[in-house]
Amino acid sequence: MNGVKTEKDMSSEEDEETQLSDSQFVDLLQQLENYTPTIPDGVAEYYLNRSGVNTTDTRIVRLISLAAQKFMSDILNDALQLNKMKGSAQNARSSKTKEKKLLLTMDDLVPVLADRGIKVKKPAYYT
Amino acid sequence: MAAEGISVEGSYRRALTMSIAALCVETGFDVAQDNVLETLTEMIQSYITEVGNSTRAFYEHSGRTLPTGRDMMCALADLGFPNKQLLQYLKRPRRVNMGQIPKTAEPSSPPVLEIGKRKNFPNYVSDSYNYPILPDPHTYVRTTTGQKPEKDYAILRERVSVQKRDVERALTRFVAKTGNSHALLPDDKNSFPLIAARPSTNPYLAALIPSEHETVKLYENHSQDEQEESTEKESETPKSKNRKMKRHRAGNDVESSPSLGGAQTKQTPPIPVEPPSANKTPEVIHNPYLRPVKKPKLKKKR
Repeated sequence: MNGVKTEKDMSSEEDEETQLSDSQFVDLLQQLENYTPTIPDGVAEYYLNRSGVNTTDTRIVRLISLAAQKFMSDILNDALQLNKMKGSAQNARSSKTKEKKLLLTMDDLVPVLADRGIKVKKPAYYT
Repeated sequence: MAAEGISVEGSYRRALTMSIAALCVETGFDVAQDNVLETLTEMIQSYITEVGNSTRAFYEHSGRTLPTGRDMMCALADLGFPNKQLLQYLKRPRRVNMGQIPKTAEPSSPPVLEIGKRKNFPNYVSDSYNYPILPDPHTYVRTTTGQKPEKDYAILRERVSVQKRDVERALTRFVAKTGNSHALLPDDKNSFPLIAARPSTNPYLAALIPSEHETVKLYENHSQDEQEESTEKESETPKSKNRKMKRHRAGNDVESSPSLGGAQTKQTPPIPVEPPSANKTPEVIHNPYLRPVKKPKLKKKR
């Protein structure tokens, strides 16, 4: 309509970009049958049971652990990028070419989480 | 018990921490601080719990007790999770596998007895929905029991009379069996037992003793008389005086009999003033248990 997108159009377009179609979803469920996520099934099932979901369908349990894993993985990737950027800046300054182990610290994590709206605060007198 | 629960909880949490660590290695980190691991564990735990809660809300909203994949997808979409990336994530190259937790053998439950054939889903439910299969038919199939109540008058009437006859016969038989009986047919003593009549020692007594109903009637008549009397007393008419006099005489004749209360015989001038008030209260109080006690007074036999 006159080249102006309504809010509804925008949201459905957005959905199409982010959400799975029916066929893709069936495909995903099929793939999950032969997939072992990093979070063990038993653990995910335990936490699901604790929130009141009573299921024995491993595909559903795996779907949830995969989603949680993806969520974590995105955060960790961002933290890694931040860490590398900091490291490269320091390296450029000190010009040390020493092989260093990559260490994940709270300093990397806090800004990444803040970016996603999660505020992590250190307890005041925590040792 | 409590300590055991904590240890179970703790072990699951440790498993989560391990998987977080595995994810860190997968991403490219070599080492991670303890508090980072702890923070991420807490986050992943609440994430799973939150998705679980949301999923439960979705499937309970649609009236089911088991989740389907779509419920979970809805829950994830609700949290703003880009589902489409899951397919790519599934095919990522570097994957660290922790292996599964060896499950302890569950106590095998006895096989459930299946009754009837399970129904298939209707045509409009596609297989891709992955709904849980329908339960045993005996859990939802309904068979009506009983019949519609009969409304025909003739039939009902017949039934009532049959029932009445049955009850009477049963009662007669019971009395005949427990008490003395005569046989109607001398050949077969059990077929038609008749209740034996029990002769009483004083047959005339029943005719003389007034029955309970009669005593009540008498009492009521008497109390009505009294009320009239009290109203009349207020307007002392000569007629009532005459009646009173007669009563006085009658009372004096049977002074010895206890059934006639002394109230009438010992009438003194101040007393007649009180009965009206005493008689008025019963008019207010309708509850028979709250009324003042009165003995039934029998009429004098002549």
